[in-house]
Amino acid sequence: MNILAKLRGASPNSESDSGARGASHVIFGQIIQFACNENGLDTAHQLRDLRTIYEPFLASRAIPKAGVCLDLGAGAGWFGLPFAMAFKDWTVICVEADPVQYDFLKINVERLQLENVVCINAAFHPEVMAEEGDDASAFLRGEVRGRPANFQHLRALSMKLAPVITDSVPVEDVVSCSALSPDLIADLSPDLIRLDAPGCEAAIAQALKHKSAGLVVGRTYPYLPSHSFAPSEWGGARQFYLVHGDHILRRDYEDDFPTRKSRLDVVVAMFNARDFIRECVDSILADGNPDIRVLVVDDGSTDGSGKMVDSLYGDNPRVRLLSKTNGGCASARNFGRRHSDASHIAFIDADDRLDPGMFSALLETARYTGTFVAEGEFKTFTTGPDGVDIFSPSHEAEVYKNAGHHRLADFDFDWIPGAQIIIGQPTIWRRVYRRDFLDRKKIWFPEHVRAFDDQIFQLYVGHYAGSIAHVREQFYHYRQHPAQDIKQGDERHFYSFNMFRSVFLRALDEGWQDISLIIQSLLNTMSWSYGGLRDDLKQIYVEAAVEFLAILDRTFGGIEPDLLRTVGIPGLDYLVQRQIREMGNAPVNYAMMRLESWRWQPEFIRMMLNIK
Amino acid sequence: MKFSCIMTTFNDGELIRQSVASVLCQTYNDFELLLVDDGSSTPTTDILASFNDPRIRILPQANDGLSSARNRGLCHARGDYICFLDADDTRAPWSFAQAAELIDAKHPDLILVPGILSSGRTRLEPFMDHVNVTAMKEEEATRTGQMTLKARKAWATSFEPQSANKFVARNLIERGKLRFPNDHFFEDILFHVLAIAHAESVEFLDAPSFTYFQRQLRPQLTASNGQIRFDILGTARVTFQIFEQHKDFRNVRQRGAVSIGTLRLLHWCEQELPAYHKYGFRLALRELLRGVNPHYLVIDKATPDPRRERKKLTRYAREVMA
Repeated sequence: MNILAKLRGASPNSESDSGARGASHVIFGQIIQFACNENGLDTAHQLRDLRTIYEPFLASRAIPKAGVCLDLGAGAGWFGLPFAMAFKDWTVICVEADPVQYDFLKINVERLQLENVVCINAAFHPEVMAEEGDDASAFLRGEVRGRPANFQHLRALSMKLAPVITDSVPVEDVVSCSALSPDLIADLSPDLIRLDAPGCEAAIAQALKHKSAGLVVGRTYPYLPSHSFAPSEWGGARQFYLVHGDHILRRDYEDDFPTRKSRLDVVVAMFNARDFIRECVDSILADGNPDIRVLVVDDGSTDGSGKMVDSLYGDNPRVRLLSKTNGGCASARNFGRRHSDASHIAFIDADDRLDPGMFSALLETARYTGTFVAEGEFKTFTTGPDGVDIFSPSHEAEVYKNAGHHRLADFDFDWIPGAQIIIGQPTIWRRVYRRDFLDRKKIWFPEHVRAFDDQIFQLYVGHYAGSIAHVREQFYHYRQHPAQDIKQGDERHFYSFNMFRSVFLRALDEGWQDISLIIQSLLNTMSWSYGGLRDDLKQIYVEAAVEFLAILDRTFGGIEPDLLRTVGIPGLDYLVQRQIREMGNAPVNYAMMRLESWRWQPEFIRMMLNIK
Repeated sequence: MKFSCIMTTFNDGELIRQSVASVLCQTYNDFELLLVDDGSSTPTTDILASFNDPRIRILPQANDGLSSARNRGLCHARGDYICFLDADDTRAPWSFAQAAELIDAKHPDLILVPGILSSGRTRLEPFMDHVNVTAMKEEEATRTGQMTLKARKAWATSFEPQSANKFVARNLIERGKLRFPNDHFFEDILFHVLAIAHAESVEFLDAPSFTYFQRQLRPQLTASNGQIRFDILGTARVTFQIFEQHKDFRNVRQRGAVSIGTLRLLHWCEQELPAYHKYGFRLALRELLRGVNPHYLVIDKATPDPRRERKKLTRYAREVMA
């Protein structure tokens, strides 16, 4: 709620009697009648928050039988009083700075005859220190135990202005009231905190860092880094649900499981990357976010890069080095993932790097939106012989010209349909994924696939993710090498058939409604692979494609010949039609996709070429 | 190093201890045991971590299938000969010793060994292909002198396509670039057929070399009745395709053995499939058989066929194609 509205709220005496009488509402399963300034707007806001924040939150948790609830920014008691009514064995401490609201609060407490409520007319202010010898905390504790409250004592506390969150508030509208040090909150050891205290969030969060406050719910107004409300390791378990504009920062019971740490592990698959690994790791560490860690997986490097990582970062608690026998990029990424206990994960290449802060922005987006996938932007670069980097924008620069439609912290983002990345080039390294999403959808890098394993990964992610948060102006730097895998044109291109076969089998098993994008992705891949393939493999590739498309046709029913003509393999549409004819009167059936061909796996092709 | 024994595991749990011990307790010592963990969870991973023997190498991967795990083992194997053992089976104590003796004497490309079958009943029996061993010996007795390589390969092919029943020279595997078919179960038939095809010498041993356990508590993967049985379509098709290009395709007895072995698996898988999958299986199988070289479906009378399946399976294939 806007602080101005709060401050300008009329006093009970100036309003008509009908306003003071209030209307009755059903809140937390009980009928309750409020006396409050029924200026309509405030009531509507309060009810909206009750219906959309507080009732759902309480309904979704196990609330202990007894405890201390601290209602910060209690207003007329819209949350605190129904809560006190519903949970008789709790003590509810309502803190409200605005004297007008506070008067309503008192009237309501008296009218509802609540004995388990303590009201305090004060605000918490980050600049107030709990002084040595100050008896304020002893007083507050006394308040909690001994009722009723003696409000006079509070007047003796130091006076400071409550913080003003916008400089557009005219001076005459700023009121002063009793100010308390946020440290006192910790002294009260609340079990549940309801938070609606504009401007004080950071100080309150800080005060709670090492304290157990199991439940926190409310609104935050300025942006706070997502880890602010997470308890430190000795702070105990905590669940929270904090609405911030359109976003919600949420942490649930299961986030406290030992197997689930709320953080991001960036898995760096490393094979002989001596020259680049330092730049890479440093760029991840650069913004100092303690919730982001690096997992370097040394996939059997022979150039000493493992030792180098160990000597550079051996004493850095944010970097972990894992070593394994060589098994390829897919195996290294999976290995890192299996050794991670983080809630979010990213997979990047050891020769790349990123804008400092990119992963922080992605993690913030992921946490505030709950998205399964958040991605940054990327640009490519080469390092010239003089050591100067030359950057080129990605093809997306054309697409994303305007600022994103959603804003969080100091960056903005857009929601893009996941389907969009099904047909795009694989760029799995610029994304942050929720582990539980990848696990539930069984999205892994296929380890037997020694090239392009990221394509199937991206395809599944795109298919299952729904919308993806595309964060603007946070760049991943994708290094270009003259001898990159994809440019060699060897038989590894045939892994695509193997991977797409798996995808189509999964589509059958799960009854996917629409596979047109998958087919489009297959055709794009064929077009791209065929173009870059070594000449001696082209004939086999055409045969493989014809066989695959014919079987695909007999599995799902008609593939448009027009589509086939776009691939760039001469006569592909004719060859596929002819193959289908040769299959005689084979009806369309799911089992056809179970067939396999020696042309669909590089291992088979090597066996075939070595047969004589 | 003489042997690499490749064992793959996916959540075999306590069972794996006996299998590993049966390898570590071999009376012959010059070997490595490659344990490929195909994405097991605890307690299996804990058990693997508890093994402390310099001859063991553990190769972990995220779950990617039996074939992929075996292929990973093949990539890392350093022994001159390679053998396989499932994580719930055992190797006989003398298995490596007797193979080593034969290797030192004859340096064969491939050795086939008999085994023991532990089924649900109390009696330990010879492994399924013992009838082939017996029949082969009968044939050998009627000849003067050694059996020809051609005949040996035909008989070898007729043995149960199983991975524990052979020692394969690593250079044969490299020569033929042999791998198991990723993404497919019934992976053994392809490896079996091609290993024999590439072999330039084949030897047989007499003493049982492994025990295959059919366990009630833990159904064999290949004995499940789900869609896994469809995998035989893929493996069979590639086996037919690749073997057709090998010169041994013209060895009619060996080709017949490939046909019988593969058709037997196809027939069995169709029988075991859930009723509502049988029609689809037939359609795909028809497409498969229409596409293979027709000579596969003319099985020579002289093909090793101690179980007398030749006519039945030929009829089955023709019926599918009708």
